[in-house]
Amino acid sequence: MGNEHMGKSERDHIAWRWRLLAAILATAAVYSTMAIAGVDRGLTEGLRLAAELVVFAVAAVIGYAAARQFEKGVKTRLTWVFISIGAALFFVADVGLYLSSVTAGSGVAGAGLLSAFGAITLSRVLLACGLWIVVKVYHDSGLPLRLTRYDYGAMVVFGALNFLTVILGANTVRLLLSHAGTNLTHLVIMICLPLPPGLALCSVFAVIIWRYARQMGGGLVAKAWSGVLIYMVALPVRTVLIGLTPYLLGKDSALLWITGTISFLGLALAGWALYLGASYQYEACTMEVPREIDFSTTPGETLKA
Amino acid sequence: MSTNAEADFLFQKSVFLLVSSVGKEMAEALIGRALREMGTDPQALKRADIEHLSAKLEPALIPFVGGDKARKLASGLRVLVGGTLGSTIDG
Repeated sequence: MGNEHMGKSERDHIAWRWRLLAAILATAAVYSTMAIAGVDRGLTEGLRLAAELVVFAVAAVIGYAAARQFEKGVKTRLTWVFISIGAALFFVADVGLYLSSVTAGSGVAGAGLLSAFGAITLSRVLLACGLWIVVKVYHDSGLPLRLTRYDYGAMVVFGALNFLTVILGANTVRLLLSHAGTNLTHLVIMICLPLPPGLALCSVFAVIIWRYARQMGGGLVAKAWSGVLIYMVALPVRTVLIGLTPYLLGKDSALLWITGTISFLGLALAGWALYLGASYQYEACTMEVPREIDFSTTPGETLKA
Repeated sequence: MSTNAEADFLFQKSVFLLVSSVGKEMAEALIGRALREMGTDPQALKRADIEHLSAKLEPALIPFVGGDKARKLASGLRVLVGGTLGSTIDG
């Protein structure tokens, strides 16, 4: 099925997937160049923040557009609403962390940190709820689930990766709280309490959905969930890389741009994967059917006795 | 034309209609389950079953592609039967 069967809006919609990726890579190159050249840190971090916000805003919008393709009462609609809200919450978290870094020592810094941690925790909890709905939908479809030992291994590895992000994240939280000059430790702990179980559930559901998506045998819906799952893996990988980079490269400030670039690319590419997943779901819901039956009613085709 | 050949033809064409959206194995699972609920199976599928099959498939597709697309796919399945009838007249 070639592109000649698509309308212009469909071709544009698909082209924007790759334009966004190109924009992310170009921004990473510009950011690295600015950091190496010693451009004012406020400018470079401002560019990074703006690019991350755009990616997650776009992901939230397309996620909501995908959700609207399902009628109210259809469980999948709720899943995509949760995913869209999750992307918007990352937007909130990014802004909160940025505000806390530029207003260190003020009440705004504390509020920014609390907003960020609350947003991150809520996004994971909503994602776990959304993934549970998808697992139920697949189960009810009758498609058998054939988990392999590698899948169980993947659950353990993914769970360990998420656990590691909680450990590394805790170190970052302590650092940020000390810079913010606030004593919000207990409040942060309470806000983040649902995070570890939420991440554990996400780890299990993600692998189950990955296996279901592989078993579908292709199709746009499988691509949609693959995108969402790549987003889920990219985030903890990014956190771990950021946590390990100073130890690998040394704490030499001349190489800090590498940590910043990894941080940006990790977050932006995760957001892009989420956009991609939502985009495929949107395409699955809106692609015209006549394109699909052209090949099933080929003129002259006959039944052979 | 043997019954099995017609059944296989109709089943494969039904699967083909859904493949780009939900994939081959999922399409086979959804169609197979719909046929079981109808009291038949892929080996006994007849053109007369297509209308009922499309009615069964529509709600099963909704959680994956939404109501509007599910209706279009179910409608497409009925068109498929029209296309098949046209082909046998030409053949």
